[in-house]
Amino acid sequence: MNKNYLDVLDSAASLRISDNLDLFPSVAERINQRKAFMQTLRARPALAVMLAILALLLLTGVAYAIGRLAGYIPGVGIVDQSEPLRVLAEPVTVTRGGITLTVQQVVLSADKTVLLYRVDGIPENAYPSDENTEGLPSSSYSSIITTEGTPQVSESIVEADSSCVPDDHLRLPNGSTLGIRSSQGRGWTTGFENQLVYPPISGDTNEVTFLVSCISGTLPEALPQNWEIHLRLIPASSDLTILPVVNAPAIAGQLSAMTLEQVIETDNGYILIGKFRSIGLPAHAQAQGGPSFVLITDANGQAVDAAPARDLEPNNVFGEFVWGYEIKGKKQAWPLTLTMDTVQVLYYEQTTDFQFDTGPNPQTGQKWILNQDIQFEGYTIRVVSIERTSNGYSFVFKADPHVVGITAEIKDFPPVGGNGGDGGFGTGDLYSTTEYNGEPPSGKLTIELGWLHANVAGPWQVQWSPDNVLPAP
Amino acid sequence: MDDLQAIRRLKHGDLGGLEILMQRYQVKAARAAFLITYDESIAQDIVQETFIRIYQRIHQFDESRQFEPYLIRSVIHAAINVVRGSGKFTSLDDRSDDITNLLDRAVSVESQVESTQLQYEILDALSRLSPRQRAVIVQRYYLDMSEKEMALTLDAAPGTVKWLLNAARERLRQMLGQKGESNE
Repeated sequence: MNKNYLDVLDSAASLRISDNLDLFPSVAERINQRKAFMQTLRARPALAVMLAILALLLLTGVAYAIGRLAGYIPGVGIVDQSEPLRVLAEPVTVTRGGITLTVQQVVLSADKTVLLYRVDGIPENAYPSDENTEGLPSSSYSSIITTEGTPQVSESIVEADSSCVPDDHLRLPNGSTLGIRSSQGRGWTTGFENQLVYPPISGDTNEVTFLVSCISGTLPEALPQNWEIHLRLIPASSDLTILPVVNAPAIAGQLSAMTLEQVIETDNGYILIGKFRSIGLPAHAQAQGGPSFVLITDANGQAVDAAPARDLEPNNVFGEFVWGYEIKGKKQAWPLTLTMDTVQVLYYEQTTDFQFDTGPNPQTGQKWILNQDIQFEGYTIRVVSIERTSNGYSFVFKADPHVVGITAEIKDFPPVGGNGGDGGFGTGDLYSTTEYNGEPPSGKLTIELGWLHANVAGPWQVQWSPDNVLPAP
Repeated sequence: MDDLQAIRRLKHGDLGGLEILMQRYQVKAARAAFLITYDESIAQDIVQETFIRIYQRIHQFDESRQFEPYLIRSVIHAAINVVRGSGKFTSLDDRSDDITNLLDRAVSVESQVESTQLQYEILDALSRLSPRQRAVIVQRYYLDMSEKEMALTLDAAPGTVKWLLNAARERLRQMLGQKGESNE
């Protein structure tokens, strides 16, 4: 009977939650934004801040100038058309050991190189079956910031286990190689496809080699490695679908935190792209993304059918983030109101500290209950407990529910690792760990709290119709 | 590709693994969250947040555990927490039937129109319970969990779960104006 109840409840719930629900694009977008942000900070925080300020100062002129030349290619994203576009002459497929790797498309523009490829035929036994990553270090990242105007980050993930990690390069005829600037993809049982974004390649380069060291996620000896795929590049034909990218007219007056920047009209609707900048936020707060994304309603207050836009490169400028939504349908009760209820911010380079004495010879598993309240950037952080772990300390906090992240480190004793997060959803339950090689420090310690992340409430709004863009009333 | 393989892909930084897990479980998770929160957008936010947290902590995931119960447990926890703080609690009024009778009717009905109407009535009846009571109903009847599993999910003793389930059913009976036997 319960099985039938299950069906009935499922049918009832399906009245509100469709079978076609697809939250992955939004989740992937948020993960990529967060990853890019953290990479930038880890790499060059001071430089990132300086470039962010420069970018903000130059934003109106530079962004709109680029916008006039921009076009949107479905599946590829927005490209700069100030120089002639070039594409892959034809898809290239290579099969080795039953594995098929196809480079489906390459688009070269003045601002980037986008490569789409897929892999098929991966057998299940190519994936690890008895690995154990417990206790091994998690991913680490390295980043670069180019001199091309905005910070750009490439990722190199180093895993401490035996499986292949994506490391796909482009090799130019002069022997130099380009690393990935950003990527997104999807997978299925026997394969996956990826969109890789590389820096731009000069217009006189007509051949490149795509280098794939191994197939992502598989055991190193299970499948063929060191793939080299020769790619021939030609001028794009007039058949290539390029949709105009129209700059949203700027709203007169002071620059707002939430702005609509670009609009793309598609066959079935519109793609709206905007930015959120750290304007009007609490002191020291730098915006870094959601948690709630943009709610879009029509003139009657009804939610509009919309989904996060794909193919948008995450913005790596510190203190701002890009948002993009695809509106489904052109017949709407205009104008649309785009609302962001909250944004997550980082209180950059702000710290506070408190004293803690472990006493002599603290033992692994020893726990101290503190329940000590600390005021930090206007939030109350309760240090609930500290526990000695095998290689460091674990801190438990109870904070204002708006606080979603905080780190604890021992002053003058830089850790070799650690992590943190929140244990609930808006509950203010937080934790942070700090890890050391060898014996962790003990005795009278100064605990420094930092990297305070919190949700700041808005709302921020902008209104748009195909004819206009307005500040929300 | 089974869940474990997807999890291992995700541990290698491959979002394709996450997409596989989401395609497999996001609808069920979102419906479970919705039946507790009664807000589609909040339910979807919860599921998104849950998967993001799973991504962030996937290296700590114990591969000997089943993924689906872990996910659903996280979602239900989040849904209860969200609704508990939101003040979402509609007032009670009289009803002509109880939830299990509604479920029985919906199971046996053949007319599509009547079936849809009953589905709306079920949603309406459930909306009158507290989030925690809805959670036990959803776990018992939607997720088909045993009381032992429910106890684990709710971080409560089995006796507490039994009490919660009985309280939920009793409350339904009270507000629906019936004292008939429930159909567990």
